[in-house]
Amino acid sequence: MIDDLPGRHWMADDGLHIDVRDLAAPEPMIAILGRLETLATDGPVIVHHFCEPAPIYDDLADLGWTCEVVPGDEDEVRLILRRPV
Amino acid sequence: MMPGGFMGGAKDRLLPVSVPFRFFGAAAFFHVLAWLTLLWGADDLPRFIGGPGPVLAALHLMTLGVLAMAAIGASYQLLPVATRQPLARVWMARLSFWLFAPGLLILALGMSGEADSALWPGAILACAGLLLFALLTGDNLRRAGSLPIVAAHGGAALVALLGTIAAGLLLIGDFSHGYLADHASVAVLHMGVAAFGFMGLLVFGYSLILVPMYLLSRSVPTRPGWLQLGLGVAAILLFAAGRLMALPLLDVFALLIGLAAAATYLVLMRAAWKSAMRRRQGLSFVLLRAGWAGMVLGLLAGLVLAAGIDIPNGPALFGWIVLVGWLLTFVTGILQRIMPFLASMHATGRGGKPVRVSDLTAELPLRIHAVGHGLAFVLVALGIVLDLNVLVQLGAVAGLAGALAFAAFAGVVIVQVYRLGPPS
Repeated sequence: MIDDLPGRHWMADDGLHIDVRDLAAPEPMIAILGRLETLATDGPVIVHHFCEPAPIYDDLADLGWTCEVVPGDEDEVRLILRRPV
Repeated sequence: MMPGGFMGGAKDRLLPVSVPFRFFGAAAFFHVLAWLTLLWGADDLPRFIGGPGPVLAALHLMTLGVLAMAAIGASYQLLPVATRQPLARVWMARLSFWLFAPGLLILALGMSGEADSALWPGAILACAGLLLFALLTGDNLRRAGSLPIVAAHGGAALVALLGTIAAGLLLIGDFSHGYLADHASVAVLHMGVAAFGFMGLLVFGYSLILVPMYLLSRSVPTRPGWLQLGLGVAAILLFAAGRLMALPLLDVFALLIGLAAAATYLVLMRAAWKSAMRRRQGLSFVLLRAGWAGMVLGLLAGLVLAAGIDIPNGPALFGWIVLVGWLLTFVTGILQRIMPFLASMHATGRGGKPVRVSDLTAELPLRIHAVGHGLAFVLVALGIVLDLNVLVQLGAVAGLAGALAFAAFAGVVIVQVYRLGPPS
């Protein structure tokens, strides 16, 4: 299941990272939502994106996640997703 | 599988917000005007088979003003993103609007029977706008390499648009000069190529990118997409040949092949649905599904008529099901997704609190529109079959209420995108 998802992910000290910068939509949205549903994590989840994924903010809220845009690398929009307890 | 090509680096290819939204705003305006005009001509609708008058004007306000206007706005914004090729000249897109929208108003006035002298000026302006659109979109599709299947659907739709324009101009000339041996047959050709060729093929092609994207579908197979295109084009060519060679029997084969194309399309849409990840599908997808039911019902009604089985006021009913039951239902359904979606793309990137699609839409007007639109479709269809003008009038009132609600929704989105988005 997780292997079928586009993009890549890894665990680091600050949380789960999902990199969707090389994907074309709707794949980034599928990559993010698919991992949030598949991986047992309550966050934080750090998303490396090429733009703000505004179309999935409602979907993230439906799943109980909040989203914050934070400074990232050049040519990257970095988001931190958290699920309030 | 569909190649991943949509929205990658999309932000770079977003047009100034005023470009697509002027077409969407105009579509909402012409939607109201179309129902008002239909209310005016309600007494003529059940037995309508063509000719100048309010029904002809209402028909063109609906087809050109709503369906084509929305298709042009969506094409200008979504195709450059999908094909990864920028629009050649943004000013040409703006010019096409300023030719097409006023031209359509003048054309509708001429068609209403109130000012015959307005027919040609309106037709020339509106056709110039459409030709400019065809030129810009054709150029974009020619450079499209990443989505060949969508480009092929778009190219075929543009050819159908050129055929529609040619037949339309012939018909207008025939009003004053009477050179056509069979005006009614050319009118049917014009309507059929416009509805099934231009709009139908655009719906088939754009659905391959829009529906999976809005549903967040994991996969949609490509091969049936080519089959639906092949069947769709074959059906339209057969239909056109039947009209041009005065062989109405060919209509039966065209409609059967059209039904096969529709079935292939529905298989693709079902595949998108089965792999959908989005939970919040909303009213938009109720309308899309209703539109798909209208597509099948319209083709079946056409088949019954082509087979020589009598339906009371059958031609008017067939046109009503195809234009309102299928195309108008589908287009208003997809527009209520496209507008807030594009608005959210424009409204992001300013830092601070993320802008959600739901912040940019208005649910209540959309619910009122859906009820009004559904009621209007059923009441007018019954009015046509039963030859009861009062039902057509009631249906037109319901449609007008729905259109006003849809305009309120469009107004909310446009105000929000200018309030939250970068000025352009």
